[in-house]
Amino acid sequence: MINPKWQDDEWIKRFRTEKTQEQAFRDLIRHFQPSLYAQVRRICPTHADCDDILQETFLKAWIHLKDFRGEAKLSTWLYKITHNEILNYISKAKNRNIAISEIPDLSGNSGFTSEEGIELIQKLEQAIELLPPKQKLIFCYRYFEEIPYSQIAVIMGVSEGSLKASYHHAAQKVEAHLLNG
Amino acid sequence: MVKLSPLAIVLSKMNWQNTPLPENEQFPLLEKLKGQLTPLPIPEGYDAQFENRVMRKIQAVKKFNARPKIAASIFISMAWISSAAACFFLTFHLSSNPTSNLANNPEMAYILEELHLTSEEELHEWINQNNQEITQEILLNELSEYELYTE
Repeated sequence: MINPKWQDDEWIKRFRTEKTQEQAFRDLIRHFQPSLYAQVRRICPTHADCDDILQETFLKAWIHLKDFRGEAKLSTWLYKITHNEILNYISKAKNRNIAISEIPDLSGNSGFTSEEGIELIQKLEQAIELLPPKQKLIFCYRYFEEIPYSQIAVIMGVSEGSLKASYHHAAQKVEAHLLNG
Repeated sequence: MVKLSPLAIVLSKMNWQNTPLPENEQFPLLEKLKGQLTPLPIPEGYDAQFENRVMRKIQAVKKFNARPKIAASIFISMAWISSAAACFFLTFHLSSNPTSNLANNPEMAYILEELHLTSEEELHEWINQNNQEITQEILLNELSEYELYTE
C-alpha cells in the first residue's frame, strides 16, 4: 500500500525543478515500485514479464509527466499507465498464443502451514485463473491491492457501479469454487 | 433499440454508488484467506537494479531529445521511412567499422543495454556470430522500441 506521507504537490514541484528532477524521479520509482510490482505480479506469471511491464510503465511516466495536470492522484495515474501496459501484455500474449492463465504460486506466501490451508490457497489460484481477464483484474485490484472503487474506476475507465457489480460477481464465482471446486 | 436482459434491467435500477455491497461479509472463505496472504516477494536486490536500469534508459531518452532537432528529425524520418534500411546500415556500418565509436550514441547505448552487451566490439562479435537476418530483425525491433520511447 502507498505510504500516506507521500505528497503529490511537493513531489511535482521537485520534479519540475531541473536540479532535483532526477532525484525526484528516483524517489517516485522507490516509492511506487513495490505496489505496482504487486499489481502486475498478480496477473503475470513470471518475474521477467513483470519487469518488462514496469520498465515500460516508468519510461512512459517519465515521457508523459510533463503533461500530468494533477487532475487525478499521481498513484492513480501510475496505476492507469500500468493497467494499460498489462492490457497490452495480455493482448500480445494472446496474439502469440502465450499462456497467461497461470498465476503466481501464492501458496508459499501465506500464513498457512496445514495441508488444508495450502489446498485452499491453490483453489483460490485456480478460481482466479478461471475468471475472464478484465474481471480478474478488477478482482485482483480490489481483493489483493485493496484499491478503492473510485480509483479503480479512473484506472479502468468504467463506472463505479459496474465495477462493484463485476467484483461482486467475481467474488461469488471464486467463493463458489473454494466451496465446491 | 438495445434490448436489455432482465438482469441488466434490475442492475440498472439499483443505486450501486450508495449501496455498499456486502463484499467480504458474504464471502467468508475469501475473507479467511485474505488475512493469511502476504504480498508476493520482490527478488532480493531487484529494487536498486531496476531503478538504475530505468534511469539509464531515461538518460538515453534525454540525450536523444537534447540533440539538434534537424538531426533528430532526419534520424526519425529515416527510421520511419525505412527502418529496415536503417537497420541494414547499422549492421553494415558495424561490420565495416568495428572500431568506430557508436557506443556513445544514445540509440546505440540503448541497443547495447537491451542486448546485454557492454561495448561496440561485443555487438560486432554478436553480429558476426549470428545469422544476419535474425540480427537485423532484432536490431530493427530494438530501434522501433527506442523510437517509441522517444516519440
